[in-house]
Amino acid sequence: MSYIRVTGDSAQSRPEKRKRWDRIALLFIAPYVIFTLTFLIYPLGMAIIGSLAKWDMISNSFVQFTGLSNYVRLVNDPKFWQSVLNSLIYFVVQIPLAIVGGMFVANLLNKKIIARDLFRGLYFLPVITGSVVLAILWRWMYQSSNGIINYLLSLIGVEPVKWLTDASITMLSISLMKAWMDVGFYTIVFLAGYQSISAELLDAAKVDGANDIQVYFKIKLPLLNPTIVFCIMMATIWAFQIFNEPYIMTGGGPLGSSTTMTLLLYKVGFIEHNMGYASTIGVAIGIIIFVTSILERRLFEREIE
Amino acid sequence: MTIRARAINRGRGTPGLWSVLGKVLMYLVLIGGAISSLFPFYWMISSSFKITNEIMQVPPNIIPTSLVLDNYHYVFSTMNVWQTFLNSLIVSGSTVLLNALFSGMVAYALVKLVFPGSKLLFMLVLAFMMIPGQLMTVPLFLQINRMGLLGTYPAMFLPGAVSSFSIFLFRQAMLSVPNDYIDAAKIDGSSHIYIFFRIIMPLIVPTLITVIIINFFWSWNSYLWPMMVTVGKDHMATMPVALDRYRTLHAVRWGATMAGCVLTAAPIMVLYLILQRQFIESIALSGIKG
Repeated sequence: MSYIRVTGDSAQSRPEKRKRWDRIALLFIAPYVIFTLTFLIYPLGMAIIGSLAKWDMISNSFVQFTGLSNYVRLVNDPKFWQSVLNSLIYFVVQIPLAIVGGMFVANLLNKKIIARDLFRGLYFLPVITGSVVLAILWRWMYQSSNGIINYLLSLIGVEPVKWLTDASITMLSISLMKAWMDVGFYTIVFLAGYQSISAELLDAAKVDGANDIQVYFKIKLPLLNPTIVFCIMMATIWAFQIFNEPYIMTGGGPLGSSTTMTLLLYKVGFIEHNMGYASTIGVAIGIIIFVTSILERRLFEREIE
Repeated sequence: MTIRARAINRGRGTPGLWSVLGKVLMYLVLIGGAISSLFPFYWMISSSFKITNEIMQVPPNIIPTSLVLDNYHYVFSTMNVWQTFLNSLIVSGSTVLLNALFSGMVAYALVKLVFPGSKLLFMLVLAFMMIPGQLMTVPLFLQINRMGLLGTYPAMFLPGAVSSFSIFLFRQAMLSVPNDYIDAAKIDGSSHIYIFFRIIMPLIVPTLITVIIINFFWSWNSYLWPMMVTVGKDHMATMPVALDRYRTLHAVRWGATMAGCVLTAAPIMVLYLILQRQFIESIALSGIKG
């Protein structure tokens, strides 16, 4: 299938090469083409068509096309809007905390310090551990009666907090935990960013009498712009897809206060068995990620002078 | 931040009081951060060795007073740890192997072979990187179901067998291998398959390691997908999936659950200790995480 498409392409653009290409290339790309068709393009098409239809689970076929009715339902579904709101809380809290935290730590590690590799290794530990283990661990640390976090807070006189059982703060608790997890990741990315800034440029600025703060905001920060934009884009894609932490730490509760968009998709599709509507939510997540990414590029991308 | 930065600046050349204070403050911040990174792990490990009474005790002891293996005995007797570990190893191993092989092959074709549509193929590879995986969850599940693969190893490793990012990494590495090597080998009568396995791959081992680490890390920690395809087939579950099922079944046994957490995290942590630098560089490069 893909072979036909790619051949067609060549006939127009490079006719002179039509006879002189390496047939063996077909063998080299065959596994990729087959896998991509089976596990990416076909399901993607099914997801989009499925959002417009009633979907039978057993036969994996569309029983009846329902037009935009799933989308009408989506727009009028308070549960969906609550999940959007929950994901937005996470988006607003977790991303700035994790990214600014990472920039801050990277800035410290970029100076001449003892045991930099050790610090780097320690900060990165949560990144490699895996979210299931950490979600379970934090679920336990967040316990309100005998959790370690409330105990540590009580030492400085803070009343016990119902981290995962008070509907008004569950999303905040999850965001904090995830920010803790991701700081190490952004630290490493920004450390690479800082180290790519030429030392000569910084020295020249110092000779001109700029102090450290001026150097940071006038030189380092603008030069870091591509790194910052990259991090924000990655963080956005992850933020709107977050599933493991709310699923394991709260199950989406209490009262749906931590049901993120992906968690809603999972519940609708695999607990209520409404595949068509679940697909609609999937498409909505895709659109939200796409639109947010474009807006963010517009907002944060700067030309480097 | 402000005060510290100024202090360091002023102290340059002659290490004065401010400079020393600034340094001290900086190390205090760094050490504080390191402690908050580490403390949850300390808590996980120390709890896994505590007796049940001490675990449920209010207020909790920061320094444990008991050190027993009860929780580990309990986990091994109530959860099929070795089978689960083997499942994880098979799924992660297959993912890594297939992914490295298939992605490397595509990259070789894109960089070193002439074929119609290679530019288009590369553009598609890049475009697929942008598609969020959640979008496909439902149809992929139904498809695996209809293929009769639910609850099998292939259900878990096949969807991860190719990835745009691995192709991208391999492509970057292969671009830096001079074409002369390939031309010389061709004159000697070597086939492209021989050149790929015996000449190109050995030249780009660092990239191969990066691809292996990223895919291993990703598939070892993967949760939603293996959880969905092993519903009702507990003996096929991978470590993270089995761990969370275990937690829901033994909700009051926090000590045993923590022991399970330690066992699940242990393999990847040991790898991290050995290959710390490669791990950090690979994962920071990839921007992929569970």
